[in-house]
Amino acid sequence: MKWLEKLDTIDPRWVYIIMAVSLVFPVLKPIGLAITIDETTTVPVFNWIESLQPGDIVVGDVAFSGGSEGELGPQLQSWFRHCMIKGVKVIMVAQWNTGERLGYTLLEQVANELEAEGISAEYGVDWVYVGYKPGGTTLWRQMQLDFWGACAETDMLGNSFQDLPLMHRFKKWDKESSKGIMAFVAGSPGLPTYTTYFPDYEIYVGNVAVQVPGAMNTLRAGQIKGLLAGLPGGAQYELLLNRPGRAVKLMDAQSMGHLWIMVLVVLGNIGFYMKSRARDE
Amino acid sequence: MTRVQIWVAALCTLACYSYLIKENPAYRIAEYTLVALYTSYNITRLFHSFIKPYFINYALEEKQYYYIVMGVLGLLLYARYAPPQYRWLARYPIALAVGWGLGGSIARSPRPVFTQVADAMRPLDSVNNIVFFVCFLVVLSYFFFTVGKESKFIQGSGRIGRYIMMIGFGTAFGNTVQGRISLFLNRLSFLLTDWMGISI
Repeated sequence: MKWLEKLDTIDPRWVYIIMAVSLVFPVLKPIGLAITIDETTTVPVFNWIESLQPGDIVVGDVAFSGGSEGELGPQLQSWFRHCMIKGVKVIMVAQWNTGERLGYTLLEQVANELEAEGISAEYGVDWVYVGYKPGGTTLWRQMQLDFWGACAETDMLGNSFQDLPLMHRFKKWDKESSKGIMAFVAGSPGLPTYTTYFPDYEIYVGNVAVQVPGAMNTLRAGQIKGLLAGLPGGAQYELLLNRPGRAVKLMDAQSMGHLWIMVLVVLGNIGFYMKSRARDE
Repeated sequence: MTRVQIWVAALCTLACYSYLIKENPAYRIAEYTLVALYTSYNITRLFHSFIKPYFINYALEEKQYYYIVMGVLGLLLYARYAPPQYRWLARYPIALAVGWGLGGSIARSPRPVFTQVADAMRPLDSVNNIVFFVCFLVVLSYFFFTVGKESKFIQGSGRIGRYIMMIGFGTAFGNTVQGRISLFLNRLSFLLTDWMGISI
């Protein structure tokens, strides 16, 4: 079985090409595979926003950059849409300077869509994008005591907090003024900022898939209350909102990609086994 | 995005993925452009949204002059590029930052860890908790480097602990694969819809 042994030494570029082809087709022609909504991770995030009253304020964090937009972008947009539909006010900070502009662009796109649909998503009234501020966890700690001072009273666009009505209700970041935190994280700094410096707050997380196994213990221990896990998390949230979007469209391709990887792992191991046996003989 | 912006983004995406074939100038150009853009963007942004408002609002208008002191202290970081006899000045802001950082970290970091340690102690009243408890013990026993290494019992439980960790690593790898595919799919959908105009 020479060809099976050769599988162990296949040129990676063939793998990439076949992978690309196997992903293109489901994107162009979705198969419609089932998406199961996770009761322990995704649903608590959705229920949290559902439980809030119009006018309540939540804080979101863009702790990712363009490299993770594929996973966290759909999550962020669905969550923001949900907040606006429910009348929940959103104040966004950004732990990553490399992703702050990207986060704003994603939210602005949703806000424009909502305004066109007749749902209020006015900047300064319904949401404010404070963006990145340098200083790391030290500054995040200071935000709890004096949010305005820590942020130099300026949002990402250069607007003074004085001119933004929503910010007048948010002078400091405590449990009374904020009804929870939703952090979209892709690495460091990320979730530990909140589990360390905001341990008594209601913390929810949108995570890249790579980090999900590491975040599951924080969910189990109650340090976070809900978790959107990678692209499937975004797709599940879109379904809960009854508005299938980008994440749902890409889930078929994701499943096909997994299938191809599984086939490769099995074939690679068979090749490895055959080669080892031939060597032993 | 305008048509030109979409073309730039698409060509940069293709340049990045060209690395899969082999290292090449297109990939290098995309890589260096990204680094340069991030750096210049951040410097400009921070100056306008942070340094300038802090200086004007607080230091000048509210006369909180300690902001100027801290600003000067921060500038001392650049003393490492000064003539050798002045380079020692850079140690003071570093000392301050390291001291504050360590103090703050030591004071607050244990709590999240202890929360998880406390959560590990659960009543054995469900299959999940029993499985967790057994896995917890055997994985810990794998890390007994000093006591009981000669014991067949510790060796056996350590071996089971290793298998359990391998399952954990497999889960992490599976999620990594999932994440990488998601990122590629995002770029793929951009290329297909925004660049090539195919509706999906």
